[in-house]
Amino acid sequence: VGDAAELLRQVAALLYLATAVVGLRWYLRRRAAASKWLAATFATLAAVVLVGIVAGDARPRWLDVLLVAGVAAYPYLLLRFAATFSDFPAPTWPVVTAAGVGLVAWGAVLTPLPAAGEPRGPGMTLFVVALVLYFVALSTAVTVRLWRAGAGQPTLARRRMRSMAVAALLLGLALVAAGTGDQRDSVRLGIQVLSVSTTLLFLTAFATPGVLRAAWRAAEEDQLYQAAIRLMGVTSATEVATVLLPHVRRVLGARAARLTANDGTVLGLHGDADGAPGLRLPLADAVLEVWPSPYTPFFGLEEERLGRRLTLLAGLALARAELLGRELRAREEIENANRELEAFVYSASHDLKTPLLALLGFLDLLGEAGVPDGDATFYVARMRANALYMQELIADLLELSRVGRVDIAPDDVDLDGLVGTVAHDVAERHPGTTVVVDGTLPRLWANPTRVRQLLTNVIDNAAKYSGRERTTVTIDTVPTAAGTELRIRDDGAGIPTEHHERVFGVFERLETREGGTGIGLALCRKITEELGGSIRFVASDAGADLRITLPAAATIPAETTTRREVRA
Amino acid sequence: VTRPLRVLVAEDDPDHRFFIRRALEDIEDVSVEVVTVEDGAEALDLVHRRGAYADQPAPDLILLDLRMPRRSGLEVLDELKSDPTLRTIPVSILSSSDRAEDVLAAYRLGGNAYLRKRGLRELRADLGGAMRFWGQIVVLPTGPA
Repeated sequence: VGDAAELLRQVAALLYLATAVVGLRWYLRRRAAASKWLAATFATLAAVVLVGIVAGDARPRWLDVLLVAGVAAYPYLLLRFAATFSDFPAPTWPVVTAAGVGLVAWGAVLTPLPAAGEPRGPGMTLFVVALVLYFVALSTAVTVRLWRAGAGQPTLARRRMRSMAVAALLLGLALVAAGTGDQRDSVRLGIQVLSVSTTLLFLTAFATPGVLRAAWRAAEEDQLYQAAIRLMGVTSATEVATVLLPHVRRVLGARAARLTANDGTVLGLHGDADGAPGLRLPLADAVLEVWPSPYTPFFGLEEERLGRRLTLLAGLALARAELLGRELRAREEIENANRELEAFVYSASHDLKTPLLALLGFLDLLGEAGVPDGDATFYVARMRANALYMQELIADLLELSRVGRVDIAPDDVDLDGLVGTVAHDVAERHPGTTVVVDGTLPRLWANPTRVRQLLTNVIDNAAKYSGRERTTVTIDTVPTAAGTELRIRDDGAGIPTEHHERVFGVFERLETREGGTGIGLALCRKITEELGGSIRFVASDAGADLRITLPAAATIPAETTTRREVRA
Repeated sequence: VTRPLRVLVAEDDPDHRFFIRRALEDIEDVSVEVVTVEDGAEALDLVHRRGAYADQPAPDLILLDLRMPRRSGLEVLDELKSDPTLRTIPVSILSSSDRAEDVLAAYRLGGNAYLRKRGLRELRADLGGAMRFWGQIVVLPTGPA
């Protein structure tokens, strides 16, 4: 046991030295005050222990004085280290320094120190008690301060601070135990075990290995994942900063984080940023800057890697926000243009109606007053026909401009029921038209007025342009991958393939006489597109073959299939 | 002998005013006294008996065009129906618009009917029907306005 204790004593000395070297290296690299005090603390400890080992009990008196100074300096240096995270009240330092200097002076007077195991005189015992009290006071202050400093910190910073708090406590205990001068092997071994573990704790907490950093960051990384999900719903650059920066702070254990666009606009700042940032991560259009917290005095390789991942996320979110913003603006512009156009068409149509109604009214009055027989009767009739045609044009234009407007709520529209009424109306205008429905037509979830317009126009169109006295219009449905296809076929003259697309243009007509306004099919196309479908003519051997595709979302499936004639 | 039905017609288009006046006066079985104004502001002056209309009696019924200069038909309707005294006068819109929003807005503001301007023949039939309804079928409020 005694040998083991002696071996551990040497191991502890080496660990003190290693910790001092680590502290010094950090200090040289980053100039952080904490590493300077850590290096000093452990260099002092290493020196005290090594001198004890090398010089043995036969020491010159000046070396004894130095040993006392070293032992008294250790808790002072540790207090300095703790103060770098958050300072103690001002009166602390003169009191602590005075007490330390006093102890060293007292110790110097008492030198040469008794060898290990040698009985102590009463003066010496009193001195040791004073020294132990000094240790206890300072170690307790350090422990409490480091423990408290961890409160409210991200997991990594909190664990580091608290590990150091525990280490300070254990080291204090070890030194107090040493102060008793108990030379039993078990006590000596216990002291060395405490020393070794305490130093390992300090080393781990101060220069935390990557594996531990990663493990201690798990909670924050989970949060980051949540932030990433939230970021995918963000629509502006400032919102990106608002969502991202608090998480950057937490995950990196930073005092502040700032996202600045390349043009210098600060998109967001979270926390208190002063001095130069500890980490500066450039993105495509912005830069992410992070200030280390006083509790994690600098950023290591791990933080830099994590920071780069955060940057990537921020970059994606910014690019996404930018695209969304652009898309939103473009859509608003289109919507505005559409609204203006609709308003224009509407008011133009409305204002055109007024003089036309007056013109028609006077033509009626003229007819009532009695126009002399002959050419004048014909002229009045033609004027009336033209005015009526213009009225029809205006009405159709008005309908066309209304398709996109949401003036009637969608409803369950039974095409099967509707087709009977529409066929009846069409047959009144075009006698000799028979409409045959093959199978059951779907029910639609749509604006009933528009569906009626669509059905009326396509059947009207088939009847009007068949070029025959008697026309049969056959309507059936074919299921497709995307939904339903409505087929409207007639046995008329058909439409030449080269005109299949043209006829859907506004004011496009294939015949000039007695035709419609050339708006009917354009209206049909707008209505089907509004339903999410499409309309087109397909090549056919007999008559015109019109296809209307309707997406599944617009239809309510039908059940039965029967063939019947809806109008005799 | 009952007095004729006093109808205020607010219409900015002179030709339409002419047709409406004629259609109203030509109704054989209902006696109608037509007063016309050219815009919404004049219509309000008349019902409030302001300015040139200080000694005009209150109309029994108002026919209101929607698109008029100065004050639109809907503005006039809103003001009339917000007034505790004037709101008792039935107001019918007579417009060439058959826009669902216009119809809805008119009824929402408390309009009593919405007639569409179509051809001359339809105008005669519609106004004949309306005057028979307001002048013979329904009972209108009487007493101090």
